[in-house]
Amino acid sequence: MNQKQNQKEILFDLLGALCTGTITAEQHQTLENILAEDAEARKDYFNYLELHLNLERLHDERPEPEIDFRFHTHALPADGTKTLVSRSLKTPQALWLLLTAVCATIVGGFLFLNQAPSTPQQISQNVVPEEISVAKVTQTAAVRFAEGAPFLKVGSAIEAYQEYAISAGQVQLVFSNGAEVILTGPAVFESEGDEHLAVRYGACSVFAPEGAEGFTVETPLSNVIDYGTRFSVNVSDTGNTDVQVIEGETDVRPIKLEENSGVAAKRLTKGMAQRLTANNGLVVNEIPFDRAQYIAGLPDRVVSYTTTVGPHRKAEDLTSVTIQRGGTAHKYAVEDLIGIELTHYKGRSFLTRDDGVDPATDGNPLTLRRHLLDQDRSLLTGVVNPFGSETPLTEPPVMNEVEDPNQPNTPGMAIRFREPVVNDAGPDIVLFDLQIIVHTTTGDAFYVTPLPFTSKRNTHRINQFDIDLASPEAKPLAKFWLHLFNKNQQAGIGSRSELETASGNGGNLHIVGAKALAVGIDLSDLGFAEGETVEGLFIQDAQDNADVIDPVFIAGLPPLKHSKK
Amino acid sequence: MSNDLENAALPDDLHVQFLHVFTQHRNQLYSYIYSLLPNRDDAEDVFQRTSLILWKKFPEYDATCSFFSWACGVAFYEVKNFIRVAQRKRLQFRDDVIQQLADERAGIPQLKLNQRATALQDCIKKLKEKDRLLVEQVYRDQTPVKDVAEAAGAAVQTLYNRLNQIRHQLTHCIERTLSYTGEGK
Repeated sequence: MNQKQNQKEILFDLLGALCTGTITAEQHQTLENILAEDAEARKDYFNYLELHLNLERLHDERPEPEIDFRFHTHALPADGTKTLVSRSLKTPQALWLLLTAVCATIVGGFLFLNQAPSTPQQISQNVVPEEISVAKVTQTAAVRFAEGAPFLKVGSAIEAYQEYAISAGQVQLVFSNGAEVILTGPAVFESEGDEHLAVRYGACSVFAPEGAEGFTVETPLSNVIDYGTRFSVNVSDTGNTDVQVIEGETDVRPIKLEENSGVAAKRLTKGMAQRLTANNGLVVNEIPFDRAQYIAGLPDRVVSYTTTVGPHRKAEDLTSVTIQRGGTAHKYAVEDLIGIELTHYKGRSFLTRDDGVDPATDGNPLTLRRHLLDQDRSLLTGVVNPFGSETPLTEPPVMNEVEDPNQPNTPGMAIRFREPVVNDAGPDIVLFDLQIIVHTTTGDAFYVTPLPFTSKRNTHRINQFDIDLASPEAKPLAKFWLHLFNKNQQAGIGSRSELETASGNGGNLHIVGAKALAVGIDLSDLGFAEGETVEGLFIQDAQDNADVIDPVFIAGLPPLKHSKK
Repeated sequence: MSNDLENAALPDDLHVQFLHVFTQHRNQLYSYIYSLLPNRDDAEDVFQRTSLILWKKFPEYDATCSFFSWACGVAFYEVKNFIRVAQRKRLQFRDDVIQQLADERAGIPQLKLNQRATALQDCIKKLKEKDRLLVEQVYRDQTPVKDVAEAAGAAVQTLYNRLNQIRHQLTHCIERTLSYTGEGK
């Protein structure tokens, strides 16, 4: 094979891995370099991807189920059964038409991108093996699953003889015998029983407490057998394996690559590390010990939450939230969280439940629009779309109860905690955001500034939610209504008093679905020392795109000494 | 929440025009985005957002110009925006490579891509039956590779390798077919 052919083979292997979603960071870098330098390779790249997409489009050529757009006509006015084109464009209907088109686009898009088989495929005549659960998923953090791999969430069972693949993030498993394993993506793994884990690719850290001795991690080149210990195993895409022992002892038993050859097993103790490579036979080398390879726990974050469920089993009201603080998960009932009061608002809209009732026009003087955020537990309601800034606050925000035209209020929203929130280990505040399912996966970025404002503290930018749209823990929400202000729908309103008095448009049922995202805010990131307290926060959208943060629930966490474990 | 959903809708005639021209170019547009973000989730995400923006900005579209070129301009901005916001959550190409890919991909005549798609139909028929069945299972029926592997008693990686070889084979077949007809690459 000449050099050009060889390069082409390499390129095609990389493109294959790219299309199957198994490409490694190293391979991606190689591909990037080739594409940057080689015009011919770029043509091959375009053609290969087009081939892959054309093959995927074979699916669209199957008989399609009839598209039924009537799924949202139930919410239309009586004349809403007219065709889209003939429907009049009176103002209240304009949003419907847009939403319909959005739905049509989404439906159309999914029809050719994502169409699910109309009937389950008959896989084979083989007897389906009984599913045996060997471990449970106990935690996930920013996890993404490889194409076609099973989806796992907290509580999911790990079945024997089922291959799992994560492309990013972390998954923690606890086996029936007590062994705890953290896998860091990209990783491919499978188990044959509650004392066995095959790691085909990726990094895993194992803690085998008393009773879990004998737990074995199988890699392409070895079996690593535990004798009551903590160790890490890191398998490269070529199967090369690094083993690091943090505590206790393990046996590393290299596999036999050929019948009559073999490398002796070796017992590794605390502080020892070994690398197994395949290079004209199996080679075992001692390598420097690197404790950092061992992951003792997932990062502090919002782990999961529970809610009441409404029609169609969609989430409605928050009932509890589990947050890891200082390495330990704490579950808080919603009534144990520190409530807030909305003290300032300059923005554009608010959300109500599926009944569409606007608190300002419901005839009850005691119900206020601000209560949609600060006095209910609903994840469907809130005072949303606060205005923002591309840059962090550098001076005290102007927050007049009635906006002074000569001194305009600062865009954004402010909250005051009903009691000061203490900076303790890990996150101290939790914020839930309603995110439309076709918007940014990681959630809308926003700035958070401690109040009262002082230059000694920091404005902190949150770029990603702990539970984001792709997270297995993000719950789809029940239907809700979006209300805008009649005054000027783009300019919005300028103060908290105006929030209560401005006339609304009566609201519209939001057709496109949403999920509840959650993020923990650590006061240390805002410049607070441990034990210091904060009274309130100023929140601004980061204005990095057309989408704006939609806070639907904000609360402080009780200090750890008072918390429930 | 997006401002898009809060703005007024298009007039009826523009609505019809949009749906017509968008439907005509949606595969092409998705291919363009996928060539810059070769990950299905990312590409779909950007495609959906691009679609919404195209809808919203359609009154600004100059009908004497190519809709696809206009859409590529919007999509390119959305790809860049996506990468900036997503940071390094997934493997993505660096800026200069994306710029180069975008420039070149937008310049590929659709006619050539259509010819390749047509040639592919014939090339699939020429595959060995076993390989054709695999393509049908994985692509047409969208059966997860692991399920196919389990049914066949093969390792998942073996099937991935086989699919790579099949795609390679199909590429050669398409090149040969087009070279006979004088179309080439």
